[in-house]
Amino acid sequence: MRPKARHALGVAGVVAVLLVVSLVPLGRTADHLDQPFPGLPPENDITDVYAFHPGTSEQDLGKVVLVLNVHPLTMPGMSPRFSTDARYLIKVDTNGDAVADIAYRFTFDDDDDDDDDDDDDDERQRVRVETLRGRNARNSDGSGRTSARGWTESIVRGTGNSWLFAGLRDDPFFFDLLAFRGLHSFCDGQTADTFKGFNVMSIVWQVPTRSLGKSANIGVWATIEMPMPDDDDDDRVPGPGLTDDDDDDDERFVQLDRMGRPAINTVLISTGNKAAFNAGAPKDDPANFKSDVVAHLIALDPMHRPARADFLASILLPDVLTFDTSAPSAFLNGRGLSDDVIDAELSLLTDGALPGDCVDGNDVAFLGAFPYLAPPH
Amino acid sequence: MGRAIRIVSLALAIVIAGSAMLLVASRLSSPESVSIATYRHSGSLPVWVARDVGFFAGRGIGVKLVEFSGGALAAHALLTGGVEAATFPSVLALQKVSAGASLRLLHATADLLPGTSQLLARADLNIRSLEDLQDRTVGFEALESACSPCEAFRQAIDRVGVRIVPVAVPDYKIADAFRAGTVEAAVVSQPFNSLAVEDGVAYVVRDPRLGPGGDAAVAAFGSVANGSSDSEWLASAGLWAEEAFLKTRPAVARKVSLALADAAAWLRDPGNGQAARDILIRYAGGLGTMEFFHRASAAVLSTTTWRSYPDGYTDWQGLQAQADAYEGMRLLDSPLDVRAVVSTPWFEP
Repeated sequence: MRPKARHALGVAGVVAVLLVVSLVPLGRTADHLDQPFPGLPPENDITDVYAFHPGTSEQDLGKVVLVLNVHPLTMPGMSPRFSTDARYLIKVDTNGDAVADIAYRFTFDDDDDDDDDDDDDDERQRVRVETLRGRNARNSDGSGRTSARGWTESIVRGTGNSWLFAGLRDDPFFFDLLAFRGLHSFCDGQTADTFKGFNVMSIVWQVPTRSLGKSANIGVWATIEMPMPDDDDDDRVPGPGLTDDDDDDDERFVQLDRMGRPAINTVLISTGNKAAFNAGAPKDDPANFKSDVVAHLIALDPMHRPARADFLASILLPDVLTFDTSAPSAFLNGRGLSDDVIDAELSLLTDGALPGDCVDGNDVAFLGAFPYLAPPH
Repeated sequence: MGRAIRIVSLALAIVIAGSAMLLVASRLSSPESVSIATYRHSGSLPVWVARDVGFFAGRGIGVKLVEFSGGALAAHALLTGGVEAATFPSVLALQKVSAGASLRLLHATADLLPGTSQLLARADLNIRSLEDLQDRTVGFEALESACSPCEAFRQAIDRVGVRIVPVAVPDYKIADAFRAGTVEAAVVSQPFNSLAVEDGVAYVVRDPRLGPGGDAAVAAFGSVANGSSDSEWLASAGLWAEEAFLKTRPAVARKVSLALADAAAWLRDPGNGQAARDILIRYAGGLGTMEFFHRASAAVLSTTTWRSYPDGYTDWQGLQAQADAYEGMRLLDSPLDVRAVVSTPWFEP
């Protein structure tokens, strides 16, 4: 028998219960807010990485668009900035060894130069892109060639027919995050795109496909590095992949976050390993994280087959976004802005038992031309 | 040839017999094992405490823990047999039961206190009552999807006929939203409501129509008499299992429940507060500095009381209140009598 008063509350539809309220912030999806690293501000939090052709024509196949998004769940009206200390890197492996052969390094600067007439309150930042190849691409302090230089919030033409945009954009990611958290079931009457109406800070970098090397098969991932004092912070960043300087008196650049395919760290890595994963290098993923990934995959597989989990883990690791650039892009071949990666991954991880989240597209249309991502809300 | 075959056969038989004996011996000497899925949420804290402090081991249980970032995946792993027990939000569990799943609440540990969710107003504004919200921008974590506290506050506001301008604001960005003027008020949950107040960005609107502590979400359920002079709010932090697990491994289920009761007792001890925060940070930490994590974990734990009963009693009345409310939100396919859901082999309601 139900107490009458309580029943009345139910009829009134008054609801409470997030259970014990989470310590975990809202966004935790593709790669939004995936890291437990202390002190990491949102401008250094990768949300998503994309690699795609702008279309399917022969001309479009000759271009590759690389996108690195940061600063999750930026509300309309807010104008966050890129970190002027950080190095934002998009890395490309051109020979299948999960080691960077090309790295595009994006850095930002707030300083107004004397040759600039902008007002002091100009909210734009200077942005510079350097291209690092070979050994330099594998070294955080490697020297590179400047490929583009300009301002945020504007389209910049770079060398070699490359194009750059860096600035505020609509978040192209779409997902029913509340269902993922368990606040309702996927595809029930409460389905909604949690990222609708929010923005991100985007770096959009378009290069000729031929500039990515002779092989059509590439792997893409992004990292963010920050300078850290080299004295008493050693115990703050566990795991491999740190980029140390030899000189103890210098600051060193520490890799804070990285991402290849969506949701690998978020879904398949245990909390205690997430910081190490973010600090790590893709080539080390199989040795360092395969057992963790396999344990998750076995639990998610309706048949709980270790062999399938092992096979899938060997595909998902190293965590790089694989892309055969000779073919049109569509996740899992690269990742386009409109690709429903959540449906693809939920279905893959659960062998079809969870076919998707019923959120099938972005809340606003993408642009047909560079920089492709929709303007901010 | 025949002699060789006999020798090989004998050797094989010895090896097989030896292996079998070793297997039996290992089974006898090692603790019984159970697999549990958790998700990155303080509702999983009792399980983490039971493992890390040693209460599972103390009850002779070995635990294989699979951590998920979302409750949906923990529930999926349980319902497909990937794990034997799991923590995830009760709304999802009740939805699954309503749809025919044979889930049972193996153990419930925590109840919420007022202050878990609150209506905050920007520090420079004078908003003291619900009427003061007229035509104001009010932030909610979600506008179009299931956000139970949001819904409770929205209905409390609606009841007084006040018109507001709702804005979607992630809880963890509420301080930025207040500073930028994006919102003038907002419904915010722990720890971000406490942190915003501590930082002087906002204050709590304590309109009595929002219930004690200004918490419409907890007030929506009211207190539930538990047969003593105390009252409880609602059962939560539930560990769920399938009925088949309780029937086939009742002794293990009981030991798991007892270990969680041990964990709850440990969590109730103020002397373990720092250690509890450390465990919560270890498993559920997200964006922020360590200083932030310590403040945030303290805030979350300040509005949670860790009730638990080793005899299997759970706050079924609180759970019933949730089920009724979810039905009112049309989150459940049909009315549920939760007493069947909380039944265990050693507990009859």
